[in-house]
Amino acid sequence: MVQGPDLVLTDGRESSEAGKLLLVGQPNIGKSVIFSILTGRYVVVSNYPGTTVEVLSGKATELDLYVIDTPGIGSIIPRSEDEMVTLRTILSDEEKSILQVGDAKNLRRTLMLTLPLAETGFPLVLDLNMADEAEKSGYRIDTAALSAGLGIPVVLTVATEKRGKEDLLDAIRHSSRSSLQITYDPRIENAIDRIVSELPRSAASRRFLALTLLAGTSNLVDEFLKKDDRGKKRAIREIISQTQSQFGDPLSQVIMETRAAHVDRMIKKSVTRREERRLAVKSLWTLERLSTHPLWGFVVLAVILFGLYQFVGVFAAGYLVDFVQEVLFKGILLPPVVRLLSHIPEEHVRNFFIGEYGQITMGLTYALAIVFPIVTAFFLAFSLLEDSGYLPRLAVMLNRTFTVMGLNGRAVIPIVLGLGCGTMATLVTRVLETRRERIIATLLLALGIPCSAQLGVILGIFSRIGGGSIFLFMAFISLQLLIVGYLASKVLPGGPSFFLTELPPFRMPRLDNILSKTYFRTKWFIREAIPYFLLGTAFLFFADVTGLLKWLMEIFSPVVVGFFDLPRKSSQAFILGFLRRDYGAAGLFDLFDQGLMDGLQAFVGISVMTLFVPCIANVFIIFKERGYRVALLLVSFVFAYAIMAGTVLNFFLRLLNIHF
Amino acid sequence: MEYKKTPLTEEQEEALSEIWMRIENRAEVPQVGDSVSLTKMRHREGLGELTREDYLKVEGDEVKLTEAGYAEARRFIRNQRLSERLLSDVLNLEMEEAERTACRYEHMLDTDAAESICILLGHPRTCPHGKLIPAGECCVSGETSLRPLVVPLSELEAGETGTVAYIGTTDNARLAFLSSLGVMTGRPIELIQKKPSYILKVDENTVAFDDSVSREIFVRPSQRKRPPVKMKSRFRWGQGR
Repeated sequence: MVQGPDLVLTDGRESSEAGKLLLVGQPNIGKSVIFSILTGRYVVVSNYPGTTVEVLSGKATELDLYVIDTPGIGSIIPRSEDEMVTLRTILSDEEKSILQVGDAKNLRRTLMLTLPLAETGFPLVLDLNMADEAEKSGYRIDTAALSAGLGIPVVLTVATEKRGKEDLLDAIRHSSRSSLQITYDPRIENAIDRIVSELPRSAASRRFLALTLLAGTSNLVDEFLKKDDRGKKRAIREIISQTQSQFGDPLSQVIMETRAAHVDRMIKKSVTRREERRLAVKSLWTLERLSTHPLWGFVVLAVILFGLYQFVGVFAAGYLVDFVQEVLFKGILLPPVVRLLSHIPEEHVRNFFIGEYGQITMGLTYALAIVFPIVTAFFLAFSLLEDSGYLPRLAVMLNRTFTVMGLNGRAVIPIVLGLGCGTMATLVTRVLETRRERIIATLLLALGIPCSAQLGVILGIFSRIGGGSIFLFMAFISLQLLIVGYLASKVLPGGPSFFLTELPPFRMPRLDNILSKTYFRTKWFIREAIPYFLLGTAFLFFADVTGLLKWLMEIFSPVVVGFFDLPRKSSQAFILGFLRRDYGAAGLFDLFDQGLMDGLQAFVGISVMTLFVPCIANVFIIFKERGYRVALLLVSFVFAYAIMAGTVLNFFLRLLNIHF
Repeated sequence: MEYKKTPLTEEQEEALSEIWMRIENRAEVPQVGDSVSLTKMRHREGLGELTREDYLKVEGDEVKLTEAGYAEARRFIRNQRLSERLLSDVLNLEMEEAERTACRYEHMLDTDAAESICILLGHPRTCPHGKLIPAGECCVSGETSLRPLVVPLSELEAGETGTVAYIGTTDNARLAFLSSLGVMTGRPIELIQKKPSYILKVDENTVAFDDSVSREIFVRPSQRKRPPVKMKSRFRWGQGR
């Protein structure tokens, strides 16, 4: 949910008359900012690769074009599913032009992607973004020389400040097919000619396809050709392996080296560097080093977690919730509303709004008085972390731990995003390279990663329970993740994978971006969550009226009362938890607040709720992404495991006589 | 021992080594300025060029080693004899075959490679024929642990720099990703840290990866970790024998 607005995808207004403009580029260089500048649509922007995992589209307000934003790609050869999405979009069978967004201060890397994009034969514009950073680090880029060398328009922009927008629009209007033709090794050229003759017609140039096949992985052959073209596939595979046998180095290296030599020549002609300057502020750079230090890195992490706990747990869940709930709601807002609605003569109708399971007294109060302040605070803190560039560094710190669970550091980003929203995080598992990793990550997200709303409530409860309970909770949940991840990595076929990622620089977060991100996410939360809160309350209300609730509690009570030693009433929180875990957690919060549960019970309850099946939206996404068989297995496993782990936890806590 | 001149041809190297050996045959340790008779030389093809490039001086019938010529001859002789040692001792070739093979590749060895062989063999003093092997830097500093010229990144210490020699993987997607970040043959790199994960700086990019990837990136470390060697002690050789 952290990236909520991304879920609102293509808005179906695409007309075939308007041309298409594809935004392509390496991760984390501001494609999404350019996209919102061009289309006027808000998209979440962060400082780590993988913010965009789906194709977004929108109408460019000042151009007669549909702009399509694609997931960032490291190179033209896809490493993971999200990168494959981009390659497919580039190759899709329709005319289009491409706007490559690149990092101005990292021209070599940018141009390594420009060359293959130029080879696609589509009209191309190169936008060198973050020109201010390039300038600060002492680079002077001669765009005219670069433009002449590439045969396409080249512009400089600073997207976050909307600098260079007019130049960019102008360049897009004048985009042209690149006149650049790179000649590769004669043996490669020969192979290209032979592959081209086997390939069907396509919108992208066949030379580009051939080169991508030669430099790429063998599954691309299946991607580029129709299923039944067995003969041609075999012929192409044959050509590739024949060509490979003529070289000592992998073909991709041979091709990349030719491109790199070309890029170096172009850079020599168009870039001067006045002086070597370090871009970042010195303290920022020191922090960068500290954040990945084998010892200090964990200190930094601990400080961040402590800050998060203080801000979200103590401040927001404590003072803010108290204020909103007690003063604002119970003191000012609710009394007049309740007085007004108490005139409703029909008892059931009256109770539907202001009864024990009333839409206003329970649904809205939970959503707005308990969850909303906590979530807003969490979003604010999380946005700050995202924009700073800290998250990929966390991957460096936790890589080894993650290998125990059959994952690697790359999975840190989806897992940490799960602390924002499990639903979105499940989508982001696409950045992982193998199916095995995607399944494990999905499982762990469903099992033990509390989403922001739930986490906020959890922090709130633990700050009230006190006595270091939060640490015990973290240890317990981490242990469950380790155990389940370890077992899953043993059960699932496939071996360990490698960890390889780029680290974006630390950036001073921009207040306006953080505020607008928090604003959009909070808005999204209200729109997305409140209907579920109301729906859940309505369900409880009707279940109560019809006696279903009693019956359900009867069914659940052996588990809830017998295994967990929780009050019978808490089963309603677990029923709500099916809909949304934060709602369930808020239910426990309320019970604890009313003194119906003691610290130990709240601890067990929250632990079970955390491990419990994820919310409905997340379950849907799991089915969509992983297929119903895997999804069914995952969900039922998580359900059973939560009950088992909760029982064991309760047993041991009572055995060791631990009280809070 | 760095010379900005054009590299010597095989003939020229042979000519220099012949001069060296003729001096040795007189039971002398060759020195700068030693000379041999021009008419007796078997390898004469390269002599003209060697004289023009100031490796040799011809005075009447005498061919004299200049400082540069002495250093080159010494270097070449060292390579040659180390090669013979390597081939006969380590690879167990028959003497004759060892000589023949050594003849071919002694021309290809550079100083660094010769040092590695020297360390590997424990700084041998003589060749299989019993001739003295001129000492190298490594013999003086007494280095005992061999550090190959090209090592996987995992062998580098944090903070060291170097250039990428090659990427030892056949995974094209990984290769493409690495080369897009500038991790490719010939590029300078700096290893920031090794734990808890590797962090590598290339140009403006920072890349993080684990052990398995670090073993696939092969680099030439730029400063080899050796105690500094003073120029004066460098050419002492054959001492104590």
